[in-house]
Amino acid sequence: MDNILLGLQSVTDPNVILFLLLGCVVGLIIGALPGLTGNMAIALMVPLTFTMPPNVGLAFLVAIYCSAIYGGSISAILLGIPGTISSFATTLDGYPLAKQGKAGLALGTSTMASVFGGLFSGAVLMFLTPVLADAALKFGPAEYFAVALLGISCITSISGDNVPKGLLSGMLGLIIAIIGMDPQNGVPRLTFGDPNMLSGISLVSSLIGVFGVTSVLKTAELCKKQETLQKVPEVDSVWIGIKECIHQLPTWIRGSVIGTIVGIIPGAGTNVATFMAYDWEKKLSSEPETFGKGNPLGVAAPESANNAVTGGSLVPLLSLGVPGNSTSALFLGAIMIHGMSTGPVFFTDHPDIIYGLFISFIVANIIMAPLGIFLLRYMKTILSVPEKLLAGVILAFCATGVFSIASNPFDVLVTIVFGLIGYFFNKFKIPTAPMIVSMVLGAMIEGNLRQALVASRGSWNFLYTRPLTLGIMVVAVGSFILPFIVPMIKRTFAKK
Amino acid sequence: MMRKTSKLALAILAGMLMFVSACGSKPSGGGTGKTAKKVNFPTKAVDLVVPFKPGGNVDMCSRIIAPVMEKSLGQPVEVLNKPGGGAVIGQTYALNAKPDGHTVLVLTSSFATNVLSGNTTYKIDSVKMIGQMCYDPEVLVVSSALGVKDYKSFLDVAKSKELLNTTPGFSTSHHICSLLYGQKTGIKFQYMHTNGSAEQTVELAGGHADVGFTTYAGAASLIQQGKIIPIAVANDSRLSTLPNVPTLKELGLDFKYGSYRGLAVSSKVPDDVVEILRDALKKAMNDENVKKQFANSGLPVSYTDGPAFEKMVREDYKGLESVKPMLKK
Amino acid sequence: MKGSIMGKLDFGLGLGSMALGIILYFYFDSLPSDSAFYPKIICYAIILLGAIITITGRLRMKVEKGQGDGKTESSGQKDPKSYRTVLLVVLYLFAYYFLFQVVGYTIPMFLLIVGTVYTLGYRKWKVLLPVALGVSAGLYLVFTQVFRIKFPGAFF
Repeated sequence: MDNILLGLQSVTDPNVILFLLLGCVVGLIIGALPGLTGNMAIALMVPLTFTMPPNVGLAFLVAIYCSAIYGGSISAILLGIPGTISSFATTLDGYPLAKQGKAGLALGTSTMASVFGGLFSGAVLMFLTPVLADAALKFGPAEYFAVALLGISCITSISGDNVPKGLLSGMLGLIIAIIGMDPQNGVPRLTFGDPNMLSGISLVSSLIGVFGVTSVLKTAELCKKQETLQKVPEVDSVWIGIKECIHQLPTWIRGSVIGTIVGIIPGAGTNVATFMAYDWEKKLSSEPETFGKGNPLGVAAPESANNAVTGGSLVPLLSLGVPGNSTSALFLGAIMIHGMSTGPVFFTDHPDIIYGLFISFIVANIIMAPLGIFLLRYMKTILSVPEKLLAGVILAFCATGVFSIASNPFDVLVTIVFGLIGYFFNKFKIPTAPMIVSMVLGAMIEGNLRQALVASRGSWNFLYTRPLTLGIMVVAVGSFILPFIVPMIKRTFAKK
Repeated sequence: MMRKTSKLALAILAGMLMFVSACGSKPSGGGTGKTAKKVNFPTKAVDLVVPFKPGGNVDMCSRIIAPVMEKSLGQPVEVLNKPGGGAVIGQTYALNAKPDGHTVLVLTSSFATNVLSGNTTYKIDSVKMIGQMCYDPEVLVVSSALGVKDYKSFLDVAKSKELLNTTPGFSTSHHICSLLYGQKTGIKFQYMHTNGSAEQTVELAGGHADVGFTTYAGAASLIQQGKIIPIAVANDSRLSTLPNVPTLKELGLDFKYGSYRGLAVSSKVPDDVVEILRDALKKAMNDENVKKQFANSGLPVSYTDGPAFEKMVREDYKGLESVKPMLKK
Repeated sequence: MKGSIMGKLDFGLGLGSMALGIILYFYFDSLPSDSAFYPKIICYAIILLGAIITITGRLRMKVEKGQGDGKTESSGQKDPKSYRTVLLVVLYLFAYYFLFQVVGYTIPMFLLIVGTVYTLGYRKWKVLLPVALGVSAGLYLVFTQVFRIKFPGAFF
């Protein structure tokens, strides 16, 4: 309790409040721009924090981290372009909602769910960090493999009406994920001798191609036919009301729990959590057919999960001294430069800093909501921009954002090619979502499977000799085949 | 209509061209007297090309020294991240840039391994070294789950069965170090290649792998917690951070290896420009604040000048030749 | 009516996927066995899924023929003009990709926006030109000054 007071004290510093606010604004804007990720923003800002007092610097970074993930939902909902992979699942229901004129509902849901997820994981971070540290170490290659399978098992349920086509899309995604240098022996695979391909296809570039460029190409195809379809949708209020909040609360809790747990597992990352949260929400729903067509719960689940990951991903960093994802690796640098080391000693040596970080984390999430709602009032006017004009502007943002990821023109080419791929998928009525999920998880599946096989000296027995692996595998397989079984059960019951 | 736009664009283009040439001539008109004895360098911002994503150790080093080098060079020094292709993309970019010294490569151990793979457009002598910023000796660590406390009992176990060796990636310095060590001692490992040192250390700490080479900074916290046990240092002298851990030399094995980070430019850059950069790096590395920030970040400062660094990298490259068959398929 | 197109498309798609799966299989087969093991499993899956899609597509074609509906295509009518628009936008994108590495960022970006929006049929020049100029110049300034991105090419 003393420590929490220490933390509160550090947050009362006006500089901390100022930088929390600034961080939230920066994060929100960067997250909302397609192609720019919070990770990039933090990487740019870390050197600035070298000269700040540590509590101010960390508050600044933590605010960017939280609000950038939330900001990603804005372009996902308004434009149908997920700016980052973690807001990809939000697009599935958020964009249909916006097209139905319920952008306000979608944005409001994402705001409240994000804040809830953030606060939930903030509380977990503050009270349970030391307890959870050892859990993170239980995960070896076999468990990672199982977690990756669990993440990918959702491809059957997001395949739409035609499961074989959805699976085909998923398999093509896995093939795309293979492109690059084989991490286990350095053999180049499907690289065609191009050094740009050695590190694989950039996920963000392809994601922006499939959503951003493809949507412009679709507009191009339709523009000559349906001149009349251009109806500016009514935009409802961003505040969703207490009733809706209570209705969504169970979804938020589920999303937050999934996000926090998956976030703690080092390396598993934000993406698995959003896929899982979305998928489970759909499976638990009494009306799964409404998912993908504009169900607010389909926004609430991934949004609470991806913000819950932020807290979870800091757990291994603070408790073990090992960064859980690339963003927390940046935090590690920012902490070490001030001569502090992470891990258990951080708690004993610098309780003021670490509890200041926790409180900052929570305050950032609280600031985010009014700030978001305020900014969204203006941002949602994007919807009243004529579609054809918007298409050109979208291309500009996509092409620029994608280049800035790695200052590599090749990424622009990737985006264009994936725009075409997305367009052809659309023509053949192949869902693109399974491909994206597989591309995100493909490397994790293969890498860990092969590591696990090395560890077990070539035997597959790790699948059943390790209880944790076995447990996750069973859930994964169940989740994979459930969409096949449920209709069967329903049919047999209907016959009776 | 389209023609109209293209005309308009041409007009804009022409206008901008004039603007650019007007701006461009001002600074160069003032300074580049060709009769001047000293070269006029730098005339614009200097880029430090980091062939990795922002946030890693290499990026960190560069961002610490950039503002300090800026002071002595009198022009902005900016860090430019060009990740991908196992650092090949950034290295190619830096060495293919105009060789006027304004593009500096942050050179790491991966330079030698990439050249070794034979797929690069540059060779080991395509660079002139500016100097070394830090040298990180490799530390042999084991998982506490292995139940080994010292080097001797480690050898007993390692010779009785093939231990699981985890690395932060194929052909990283930690992997190469393991290969060279294995070659020297005849010990065989089974390799598990992860994605980066965070995953590597977690595998060790969780007991999912037995052994690995790493550098101190990445494993520091887990070593303090006793989850990873350092048993030997591949260096001539003990580390100040691990005073109780013996060197391999003390243990009777003449083996040293470490990962290095330094600055280099294309070999086509004129020598006087290289000298200016060498001076700037030397000054930066002697700056108290830089030293402190390096130390805080767990990056052992060990500045060596250009020629010495060049010699070291070439020797490293020669040493690698022996493991070439294991790296190349 | 729409189904018959879908049936044919599926049939083609299935055959195409099977072919792709087989080609990839032989490609991976030429790699060292440890690198090839996992990709080959995916190739099997692609070939299998291709076969399923081919068969269902074929069945759908038959069913529709059996029903013998003589309805002509109306909604699925291919308008060559609409494809030309798509093609043009793709061309602009590739042109931008090549130009911005040589010329620089702002001018190709301005042209990309103007070209795309014009081709899509938007004709309000008083809106279009300022927007295109504002977006290309604005993005340039923000990315170079705030995000410290360096664009390739001769000019800004």
